[in-house]
Amino acid sequence: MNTLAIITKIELKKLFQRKDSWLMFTILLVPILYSVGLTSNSDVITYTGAGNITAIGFASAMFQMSQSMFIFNVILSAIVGRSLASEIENKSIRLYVNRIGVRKLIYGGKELALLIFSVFIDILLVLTSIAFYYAVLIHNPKVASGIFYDSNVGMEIVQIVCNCIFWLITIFLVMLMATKLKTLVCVGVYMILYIIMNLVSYINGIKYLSPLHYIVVASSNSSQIIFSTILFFIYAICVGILFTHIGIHKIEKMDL
Amino acid sequence: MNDFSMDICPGEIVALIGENGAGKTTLLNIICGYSKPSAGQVRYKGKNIVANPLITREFGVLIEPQFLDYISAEENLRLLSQLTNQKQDTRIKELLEKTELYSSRKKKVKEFSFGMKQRLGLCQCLLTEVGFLILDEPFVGLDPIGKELFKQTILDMAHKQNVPVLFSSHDLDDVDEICDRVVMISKGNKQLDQPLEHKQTYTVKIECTISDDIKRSLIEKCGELSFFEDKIIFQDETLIIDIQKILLQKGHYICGFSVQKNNLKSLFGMEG
Repeated sequence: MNTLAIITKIELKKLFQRKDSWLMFTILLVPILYSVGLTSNSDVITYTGAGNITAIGFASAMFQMSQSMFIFNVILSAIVGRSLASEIENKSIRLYVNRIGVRKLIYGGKELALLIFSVFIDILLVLTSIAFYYAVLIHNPKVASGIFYDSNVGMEIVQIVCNCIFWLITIFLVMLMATKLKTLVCVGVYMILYIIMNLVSYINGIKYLSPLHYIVVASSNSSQIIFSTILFFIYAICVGILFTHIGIHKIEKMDL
Repeated sequence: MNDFSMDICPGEIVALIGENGAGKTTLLNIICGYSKPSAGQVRYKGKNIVANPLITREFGVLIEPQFLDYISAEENLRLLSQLTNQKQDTRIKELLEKTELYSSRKKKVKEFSFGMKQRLGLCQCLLTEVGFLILDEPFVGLDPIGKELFKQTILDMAHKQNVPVLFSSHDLDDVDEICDRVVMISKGNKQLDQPLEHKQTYTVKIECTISDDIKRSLIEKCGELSFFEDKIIFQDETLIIDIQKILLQKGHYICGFSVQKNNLKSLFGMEG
């Protein structure tokens, strides 16, 4: 097994052993509570969508709801911050330094582990949404159509993918910040940046710079959805490469 | 560090001493590759460690030992052994037994005392084959048994496995006991780099009434002697009989007599 794979494996193990990482799994409560609420005709949880919802449509709606809750972005930024900033601060990153030697592998391994963790959570969210759709929500025929997907499936998958990409961008961004800032500061700065990204996404001309713009387009049923998603994909790759490159450069120069 | 240069030979135990903030830990951090030197270089087996960072894998390092405190001692060691891509269960067991941590191996590291963490740090740095052992204040916070264990480990590594050892310490007695050479740092500069050759030497003090006439006679006969208040102080214990003869010939009585094995504290004038 090569060194990057070993670090990634160890980082994944650490992520699943840390209690703060488990907070991210509370995202699975969103489809659970939503499906239970709708089935029991709760006054708090209501569905105002056009027509009955499919299983994939429900999963897509849960992604959008989790994104709009913002708290999961904060939790993810804290997890990312703790993975790097806290280890730099308490010097436990030194466990790697003279055993690995090459610092870019340490940064790369940590980032890769976080990306895998994020995708794993996304997959769990899709699976939980589908499971609770068929186990619970299906008992409310006013909301659930009972079918797996319909003609809107392409758009719904795009919406899910766009939300996943946004979390990946969050990881790239916070990893970069964590080379310089402490965990809590990373979370604070990320929250401010999120608000700025939100504002930018509504300003013509510069809205393409904000990743939230692409999520807005993806959820708007607009005709530009495919073009916008491809653009978002390219945007995420560019941001990923750029931020990772800067992050590696920073960690290679710094005193650990 | 300013204009600092030193080398260490295989099997040599070198101690870094100096006041707080002198630069001991900074020097060790640079050697280990934790900090990058703004100028100059650290060479190991002829290779610059900045250009060849992989070479630091051979270093056994104990500088402020770091652990993942939310997992057990054994898991911490297992995680580290994965980094070297080797199965080292036997080595882990052996080290935990050696450091008397075997019974606490399942405990989370956050429940460990400072001394236990220091012992676990020793396990970490000896987990793989070590080519160069670097320790920062290794004896701090250890009980006498732990201290002895650390000292024995250092001596074994240096004298049996021919591994060079560099450690920093504030305790001159510990330094005196195990090291071959001492390097003193002050404000980032090397103040002293000296082999500890005094280990088998003695300081003799004879107490009596000393007149100028006696001083002259003693210096004529015995060469270099020091006089302090009513004491004649010298290093060569074979002179004792000659000095005694001169004093008796001049009708002087010896009021006090002491022979002390020389140590680092006496070298720095901190004793007696």
